[in-house]
Amino acid sequence: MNSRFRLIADLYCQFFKIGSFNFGGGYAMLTKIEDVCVNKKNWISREDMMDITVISQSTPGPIFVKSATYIGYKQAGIAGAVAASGGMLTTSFLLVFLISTVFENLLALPLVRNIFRGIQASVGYLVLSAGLSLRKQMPDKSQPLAIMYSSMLAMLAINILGLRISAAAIMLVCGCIPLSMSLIRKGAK
Amino acid sequence: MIYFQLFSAFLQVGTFAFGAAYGAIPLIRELVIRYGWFTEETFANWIAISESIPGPIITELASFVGYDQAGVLGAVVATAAVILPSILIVILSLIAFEKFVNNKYFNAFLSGVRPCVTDMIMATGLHMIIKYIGALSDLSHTDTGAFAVTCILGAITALYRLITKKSIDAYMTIIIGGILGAIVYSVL
Repeated sequence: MNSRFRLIADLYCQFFKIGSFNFGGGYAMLTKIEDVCVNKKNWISREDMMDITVISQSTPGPIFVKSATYIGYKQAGIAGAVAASGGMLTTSFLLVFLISTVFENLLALPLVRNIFRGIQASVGYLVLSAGLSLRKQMPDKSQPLAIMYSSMLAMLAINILGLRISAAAIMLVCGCIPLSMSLIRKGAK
Repeated sequence: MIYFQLFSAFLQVGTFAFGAAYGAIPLIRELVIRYGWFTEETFANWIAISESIPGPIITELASFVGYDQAGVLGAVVATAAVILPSILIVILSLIAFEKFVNNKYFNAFLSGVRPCVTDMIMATGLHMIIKYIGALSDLSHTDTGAFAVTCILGAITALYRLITKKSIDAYMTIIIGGILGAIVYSVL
């Protein structure tokens, strides 16, 4: 019991460190996880690292949490998964509080307000280019052009006209098109 | 009941947040605006802040919305709800990795979701730019400062891409945006 407790504490601490000094986004963090959990701690194998990458790319949710859960669960079950994910998120959670409490006061300063008005105008740009670079990473570019343009148009229409159609619904429809196609193909065989 | 609302809203975000960090932005934006939790400006501020501090953008936005609406407990509820699907999915795939991740139908489903997500993110970005300039309501409300910042930033990034053949990274975009804001709005 004591060694199990120590393992869980260690999971929390290691992921706390990984989560605290990460500025490069999810995929940059995977190399750091590999360094700590494969090379130093021997928690998982290199093949596990590959599995983590595959799962991260094909399932929803933040890579941070998924990789921490994977390693924590393998080492110490549910408690390990919770400890590792919790460690990963502690710093960012505390930072959000800290910033929330001072942010309104900071915005009262004219210079800060001006800076943030500039930042606000550039965030749309940030989102747009994140979408663009995801699009470039797509494995096959030939087939899904129809899905791309129609979901772009649908989303723009929903936003501009203020329709109450959920983005999740569009995603489900887009996922079901190739799914039903492959089911039909299977049925035809 | 605000806790229940936060929980169900962010459970939905966590379930459908395909496509890395920004995949969640269209979903969160939709909820935040539908429930009237934030203005467009606050949401944009918090995307920039989440991008600049370590940790995943999704959980940071969830913590912030939760905290803003219902204090510390709200933040915990929203953050837990947004990561719950990920935790379940990983445990499920650890139990049946081959069956789940290598499943033909699951991958067929994904092949439709991925292109949809990329373009929904792009559409959201476009709409944020247009809306922030104020060109959608009526033209007398156009924010000339935002228009100037958008144009200069667009020119700088295009030039950077032309010279280095790489796209400018997120921090630089935020820093340049901030500097431009400080200059443009103090001149206006």
